[in-house]
Amino acid sequence: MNKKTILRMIVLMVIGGIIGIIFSIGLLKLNQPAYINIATQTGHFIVKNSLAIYIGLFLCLFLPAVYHYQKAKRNYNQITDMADDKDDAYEKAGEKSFNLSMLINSTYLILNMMLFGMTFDKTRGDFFLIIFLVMFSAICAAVLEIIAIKYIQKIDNRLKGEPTSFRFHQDFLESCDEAEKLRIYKCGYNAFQLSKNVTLGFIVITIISNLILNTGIFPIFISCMIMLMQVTSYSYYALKGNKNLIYKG
Amino acid sequence: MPLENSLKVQRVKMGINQAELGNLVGVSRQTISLIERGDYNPSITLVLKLSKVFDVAVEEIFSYQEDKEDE
Repeated sequence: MNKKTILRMIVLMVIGGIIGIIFSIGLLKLNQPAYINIATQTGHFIVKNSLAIYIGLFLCLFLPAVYHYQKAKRNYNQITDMADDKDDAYEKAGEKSFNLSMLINSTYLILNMMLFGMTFDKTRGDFFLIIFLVMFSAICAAVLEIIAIKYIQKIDNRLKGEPTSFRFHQDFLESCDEAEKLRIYKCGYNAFQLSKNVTLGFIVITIISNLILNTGIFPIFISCMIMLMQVTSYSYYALKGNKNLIYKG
Repeated sequence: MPLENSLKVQRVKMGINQAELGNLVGVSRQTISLIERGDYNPSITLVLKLSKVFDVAVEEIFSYQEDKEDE
């Protein structure tokens, strides 16, 4: 290691330490009855109004997801395969709306699951209604995703894979052309790096939170397991890839 | 961009659109568009397929221009 590398490592450690101190001071400030009361009240508010939140999520997330899917369809339907430059513009607009729709739809599903987990209580009177709403939300999100994928496959019949099958991602990836594959790989790698850094941040937060607010070891365990899974799965595929280094497209 | 191409010229000369060319070489219309704009460098396999479709030498479609930084 040269001097520059050692210096860079020291600078990074110092920056990490400063962030840790700032975060600890912030949590210490939060560890006061007034703030704890706000957090408790917020928790009670969510549990009490969970029914309204479920409906709110449906209106604010699922319906916009459907709207953007319809917008994507309108753009894709404008493609004539005759005017290349115009088709490019419609395709870009369609892709943007399509990706936005899928992002909102996934967010809707995740928030529903989170809300269900946070407000799960067998003793509440509307327990079965909540179960019905969660299942209804999950079915709506899944149906929209399947319809959207089938539509994309209909307008581009090169793309294969049955959306309800476990092999879907493998079949879909295999049917993409080389430029599409490159884009998927780049997105996948960037998402991996970002999620790894975010998980590292969560580990630090959960450790400091446990030290100051006694939040327990479970959040630390879960965030460490997520990071362990990310790193080992990446290494597994990297090792697997080494056996077949020739790129076959 | 060190790799330059005359794909659009060749395609227009042949009288086909991007979608038709994409079908002939097994890629999407978008990929043909990306290559024409110089935003994507195709693989050797795709370059050879394109040269076969146009029935010209690879060098007539693609040419490598040295970057000033490389010199």
